[in-house]
Amino acid sequence: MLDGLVNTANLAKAFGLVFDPKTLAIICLSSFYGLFFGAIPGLTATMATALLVPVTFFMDPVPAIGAIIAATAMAIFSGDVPGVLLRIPGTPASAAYTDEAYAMTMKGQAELALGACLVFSVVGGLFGALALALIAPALAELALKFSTFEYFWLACLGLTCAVFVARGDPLKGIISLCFGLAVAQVGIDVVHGTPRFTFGSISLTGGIDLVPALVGFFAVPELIRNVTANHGRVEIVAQNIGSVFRGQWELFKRYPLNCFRGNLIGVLIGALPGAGADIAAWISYAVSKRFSKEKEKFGTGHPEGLVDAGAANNSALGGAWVPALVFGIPGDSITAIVIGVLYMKGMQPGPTVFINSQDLVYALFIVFFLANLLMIPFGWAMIKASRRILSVPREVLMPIILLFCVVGSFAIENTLFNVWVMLAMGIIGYLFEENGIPTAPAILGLVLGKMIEENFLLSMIKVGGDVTGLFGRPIGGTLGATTLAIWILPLAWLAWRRLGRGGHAT
Amino acid sequence: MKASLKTLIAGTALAVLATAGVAQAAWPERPVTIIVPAGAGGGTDGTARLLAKQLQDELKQPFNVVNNGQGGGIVGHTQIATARPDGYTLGIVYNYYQWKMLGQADINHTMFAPIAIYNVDPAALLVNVNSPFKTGKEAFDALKADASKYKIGCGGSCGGSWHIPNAELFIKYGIDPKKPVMVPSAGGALSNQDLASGGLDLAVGSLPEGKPLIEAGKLRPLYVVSSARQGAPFQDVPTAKEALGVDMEGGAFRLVAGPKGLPADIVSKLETTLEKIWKSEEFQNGMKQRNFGTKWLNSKDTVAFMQAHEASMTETMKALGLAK
Amino acid sequence: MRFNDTVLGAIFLALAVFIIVSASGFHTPPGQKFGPGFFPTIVASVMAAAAIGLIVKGLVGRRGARLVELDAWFSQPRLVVQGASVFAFLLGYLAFSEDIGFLIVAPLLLWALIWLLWGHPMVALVIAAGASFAIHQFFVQVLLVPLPWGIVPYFKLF
Repeated sequence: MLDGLVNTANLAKAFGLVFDPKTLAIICLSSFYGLFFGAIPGLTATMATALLVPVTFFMDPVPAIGAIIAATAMAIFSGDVPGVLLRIPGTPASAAYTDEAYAMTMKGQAELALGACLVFSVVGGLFGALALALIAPALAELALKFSTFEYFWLACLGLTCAVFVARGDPLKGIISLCFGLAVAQVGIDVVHGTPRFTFGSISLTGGIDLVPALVGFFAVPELIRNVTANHGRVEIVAQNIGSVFRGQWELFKRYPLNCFRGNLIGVLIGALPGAGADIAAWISYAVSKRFSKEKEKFGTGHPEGLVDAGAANNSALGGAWVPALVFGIPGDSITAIVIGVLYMKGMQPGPTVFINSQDLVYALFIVFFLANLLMIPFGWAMIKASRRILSVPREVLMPIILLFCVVGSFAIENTLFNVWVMLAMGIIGYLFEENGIPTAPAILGLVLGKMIEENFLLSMIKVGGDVTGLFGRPIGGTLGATTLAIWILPLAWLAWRRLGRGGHAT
Repeated sequence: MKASLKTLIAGTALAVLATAGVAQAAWPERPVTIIVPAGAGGGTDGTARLLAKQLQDELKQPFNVVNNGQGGGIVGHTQIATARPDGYTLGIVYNYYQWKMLGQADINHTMFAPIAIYNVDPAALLVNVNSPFKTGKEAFDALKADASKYKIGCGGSCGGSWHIPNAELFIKYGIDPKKPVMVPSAGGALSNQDLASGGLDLAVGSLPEGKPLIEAGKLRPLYVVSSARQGAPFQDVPTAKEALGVDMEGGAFRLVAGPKGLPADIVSKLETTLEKIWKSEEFQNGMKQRNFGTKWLNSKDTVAFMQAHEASMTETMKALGLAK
Repeated sequence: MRFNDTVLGAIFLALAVFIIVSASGFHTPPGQKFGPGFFPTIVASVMAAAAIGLIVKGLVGRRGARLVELDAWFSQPRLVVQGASVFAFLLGYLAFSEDIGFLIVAPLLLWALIWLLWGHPMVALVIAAGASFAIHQFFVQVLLVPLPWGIVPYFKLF
């Protein structure tokens, strides 16, 4: 398709398109918009994109696409900021490491945490852009070979992560995971069309929307904790955010492998349809913990996982564009919307777009790099401003955040029902935390519940109910064997060690 | 802290001081919401936004598209039907009667004030490029011999817009429509991708939805369920009649509707405006650009069309054994 | 509100039983081995097993402990009121926003909550009104989200 050769005439044209003053202005404006959306809990990168669509309909192709790329990149980074300072993730993509980042803040390392989020977001974003520009076709080709069998195993791998990310009582972790999976089953099941656990409600036939559920689960307990704290106010620990860039180079030198691994996982997960930045963050955080030399430090304010996951969720953005652009198959919920915009702009996704609109594709790549470079000054400004924003008394800020949560939940599908969902999940989330039930497995169950069930049932329809059929295809079989190995090997190793120890004792 | 608080107060005070006038005029005197029972960026969304932009130009009020794709569209359709019939909530209605037949939700034409049909997309049958089937006839003869050997993607829910016309073709060709393994999915894109990955033998769907993978050389369309061939780039795809000798039309339709009880003057004003828009070059070009078929039916004919949709769905779903 | 492990286990066991009973009523299409009830049953069975484990653990480990323990803040009326205010805010919005309109309900609720938590009623009123109005304009005018107007007549600033 590209044949490795860059058409310099089109490249020059692309630079002209991007560095047009009006386009640059739009990119800057949408960057602020994205930073704002990401930082406010309840407003997500996906929502920022969905709400940008009507505005971009009246723009030229490059500013329209530039606006979306800039807004989403900024939002995914900016979601980390309230996570670090308030223990409320701004977007679901930050949820995986919010506790870790907040623990760093409690230790007085808010600068290091914020800086790590920013620096590794930029690195991840640039890597994602590079991957998009260089290996797009090959990667999408592989993802395209995935059928329901492969997706089933992929979802299983995802659920396995729940085991690695969970802390505390394993029994409670399992209950939490099952609870999330059960909530995901509410609504009409796609495979058989049966309404399940809807209690006759039309609103429930649509199932529980992820975003209001996440807002409820994370924001409401935090708000309740705040207003019922004994001394009335919980001061933000980091009163002085100094140089956020200090110590980042040391961090990078200490964890070069983590950074690269996070980037790679992000791009791969992003390119797989159905999984986006949030799952990339969960998986890479779990991988980071699994292979860390200092496992015991995870959860106590240890930056290692942040390096992995902070890079992964930003590189996933670039990854998601790969199948979207090459085959018109969305890599995540953001690019699902983007595809519609591409159509409207006459850039029909498909291999031909690389030939017919080469200048526009180059422009898209340039915007990707530009947006991630802009993130350094803008993100820095955002962190500085966040201190100002958060110096507003919490008793004033919390009610306003609550109103944002309400409006954000409402705006997803424009229905009050989602505000009810937020309220209900908020109460449950609060009770979970009070009783030492970890919330992370529930969220993962909610995210992966539909994917795992649908792909299992569809695979069973195809092979006539024969479970061994799950191993019938080369890629699926390999993924399945890997999953089973991950499940069985630690147990076998444990058993072997026990036996070994038993041998020494006698 | 004091400084930031002062800024906050100054800013908010300014905002509060700003006042606004209230306009009084005939409908529409404030923005109209168009509910799209599908996600942002999809086909229904695209056509709705095209209409909304032109309605806005014509009627001088914002027409805001609001997406609600929950429950495969059931929730959005219910929202349209239960909105206040004051003309400020309209919506796009598309193939809906399968929900009634499947026992999922009772949505039917009496719940709406139909205004006009503006789009019909014919169904199609697709195969992987590596499939042994080069023509519709080869595929149908193989299905007739032993349909139970084949896995067919439904391009969404089974019993939906794309499955039903193809099932009718099966029946007319003498294939038992209950025999093949029908595989549902959460949308046409996923079904097509599964077909490209080799997870399915055939998939029903539409040409616009399959376009990216067809052009990428991954999928091959066998026929389109329409009495005439489609425009470029699908001019080479045979019709059902050419491929199988069965003359038939069927697929997805989209229409503008309000909730039942919408005042007659609003219905007629919308009908006239929509007809003007539908005939405009801007609308026709916009639809063609995205490979959407265009069809016009006024309010009265749309009601008849919906009744026919319900009757044919009842019959085919029963033959498929899907009716509950 | 902290529950004893036994009570907690019993709650989730009840939920799991409810899911299993409901799932047994889901119709499996003829010719299919796995129907819509398959996954809920598996998930609920695992949940039930873990819940029973929790019950046993509670019975063994914390014999004589209280079944339900209230948090410290429940003994301070002011904190109870503040905790309840978050729910009152949400319920108030849910009950009145559609009919009365965002522009009236949101500032009032926000005012009440800020006043309660922070004091300074006059400053709180200005902040509440300003913040609600800014949020309203941003969502309605820029992002075209149809926040309910209720009894407020429609207007447009720009």
